[in-house]
Amino acid sequence: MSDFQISPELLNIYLEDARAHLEGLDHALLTLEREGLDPEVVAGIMGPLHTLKGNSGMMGFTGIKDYVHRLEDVFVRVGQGTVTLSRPLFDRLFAGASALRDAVEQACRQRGEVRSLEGERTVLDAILRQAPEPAAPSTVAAVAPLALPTPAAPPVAPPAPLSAPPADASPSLAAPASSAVSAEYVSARSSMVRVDFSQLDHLLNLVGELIIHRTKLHELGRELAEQMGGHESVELLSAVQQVASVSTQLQETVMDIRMLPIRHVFERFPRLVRDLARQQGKDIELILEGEGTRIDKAIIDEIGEPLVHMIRNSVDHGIETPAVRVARGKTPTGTILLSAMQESNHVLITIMDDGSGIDAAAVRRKAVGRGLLKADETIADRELVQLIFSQGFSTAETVSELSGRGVGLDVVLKSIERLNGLVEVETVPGVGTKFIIQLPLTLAIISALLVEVSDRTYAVPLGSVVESLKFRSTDVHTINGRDTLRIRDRIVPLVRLDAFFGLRAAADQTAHYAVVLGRGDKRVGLVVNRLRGQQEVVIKALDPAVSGTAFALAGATIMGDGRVVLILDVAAFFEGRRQALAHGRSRPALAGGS
Amino acid sequence: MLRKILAVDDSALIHQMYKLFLSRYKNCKLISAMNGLEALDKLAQEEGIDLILLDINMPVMNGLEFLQRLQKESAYQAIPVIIISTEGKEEDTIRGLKMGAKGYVKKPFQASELHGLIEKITAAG
Repeated sequence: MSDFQISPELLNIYLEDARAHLEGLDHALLTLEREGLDPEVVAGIMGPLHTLKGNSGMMGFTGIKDYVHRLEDVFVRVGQGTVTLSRPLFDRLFAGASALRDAVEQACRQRGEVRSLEGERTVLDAILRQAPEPAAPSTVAAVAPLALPTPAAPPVAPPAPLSAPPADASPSLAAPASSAVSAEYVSARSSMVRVDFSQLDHLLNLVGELIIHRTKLHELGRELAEQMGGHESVELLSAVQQVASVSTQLQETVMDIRMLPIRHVFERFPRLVRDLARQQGKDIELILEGEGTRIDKAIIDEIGEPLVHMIRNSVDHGIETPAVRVARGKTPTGTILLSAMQESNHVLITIMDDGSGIDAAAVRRKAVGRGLLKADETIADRELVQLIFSQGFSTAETVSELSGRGVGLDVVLKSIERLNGLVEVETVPGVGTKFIIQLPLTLAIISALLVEVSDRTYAVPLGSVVESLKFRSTDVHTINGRDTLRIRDRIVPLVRLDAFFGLRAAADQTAHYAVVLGRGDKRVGLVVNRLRGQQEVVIKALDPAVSGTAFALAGATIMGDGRVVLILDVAAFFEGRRQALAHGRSRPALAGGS
Repeated sequence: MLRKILAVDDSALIHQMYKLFLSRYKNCKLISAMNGLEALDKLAQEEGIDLILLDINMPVMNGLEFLQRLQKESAYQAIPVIIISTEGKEEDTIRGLKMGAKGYVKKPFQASELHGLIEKITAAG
């Protein structure tokens, strides 16, 4: 396109659209491969391809457009039966679909086509050449390209007489015969609106503020009622109650709008599993369950990558080759179950395979080799296998170059923790492995433990809190220059939050509380002055310049009295810079920016 | 002067393009419909539509079906229609022109192409 700029907004619309169409393409190919030729499936993919072609052309992505155009031709011939469905054909079409997706993503990132589809197009051309020409269409089509006038010229075809209505009374557009049908479509389409996610974020922020002020209003109302009494103050309080109830509903509704079915993540996995299984000569059936389970879009956006990693893991190391399976008395086809379900205010995602399981002995050897475990340490197998999530832990039995690409399951753990989630593994050698991921329904609201440090309040995400306890200064032991606390039979390192955040130590030093955080089998105790109870808090993002692991801050929230409370990033306390953390040095000052 | 243009296309991207391309016609209202049926609805709701930009390949009701319905309705017959055609669908474009469309632009089109045709057709009609 030469006479306009492709705006980011336009690119976004294109990309979002294209992704949906490409999902449709994958889905159609998978269905055709599984169930054989179905004219309805073929017909169903023509529309999306056509739109993708048109849109790509508008964006000036001619390589993509040309490829999709060829693809349309292939599907036309498939529908006519002149191109026969075969395994090699599917392999080529799937490879082409991947290349196409790649080209689209890259073109949108680079604002221009970078990935050539030349080679892939040649493959389609070859498929088309092998197929006999479709039955000659009408003569109109044959002469069409020649008969078409140039756009600026008036049409060659004489316009139909505009002033000659048909002899019979023309049916009204709202004729009863068609009205039932149209009403159906009318209601179906007018119930959907596309909204930019950032607007929903903004809306949620506004609602959060509304709730804060509502709380304040309520407190003022009550004070007033106590001081003045009388009819008016009762009325005022009841009005405030109404506002409270409406704003709570408003918050719930906005939260609900942010939720998307997890299908958006799951739908790419059938293709992934198919491709990986083919590569490795395995036979795998992927069963999806609970795709309708809804979860915050912000989580949807983040959970894809860890799930890909874990599913690859199941394909690579869980499911055995058909020969091995048969030898073990299993069916030659392996099964991976990917399911999602809601449980109170969490979503549980389960990835279960009926493969070889994790070899606990191998995990133990590796763990001892890495210094994660003492050679003579006794540990239950169930706890032992959790060590596969430890940093730098990677055995051939758990992570391959294929699934890992050099990263282990520790990265998966980190991604899930960033979402305030938990992950656990259960395995039975020879029978299978089950990963269970627990995620919050939303990232926008979390349960937090409010703690006080030197007269300041901080919020600690409750999901990471193992326990909190009171201790005396005399209970603290210094080991290797580090304060620790003995809790039952564990030595738990302590982090003094006042020193950590560079605050003046509180006057009263006789008693302290330790909030013990857990991550896998690791524990860290945060030393605070007071516990103020738990509460649901609305998370507001902080500027990246002052948030994240480096600052140990995950965000902020605003309390009912209008005070801003910082939310701790729990991961920061496990990052291994313990000395620095304990002394609060080498950290940029919060107030001064970076 | 153009007051109202009805754009019918199932692609959100194309609608965004129209918004961009047609912004030069100040005071002209752009009305969007995602398919033929929706376009008929919009025609019934909005009076005085001066021009229709019509995609052919759309779900629910395609452009040719829409043209057919349009031709049966005396109130709408006079509204000029520009077909926005796609590569490989030339026969549909020809059918559309035979059914009374005034002209066509081929996707991908440039703003200047569209402007040229719109001005030609609306000045003439």
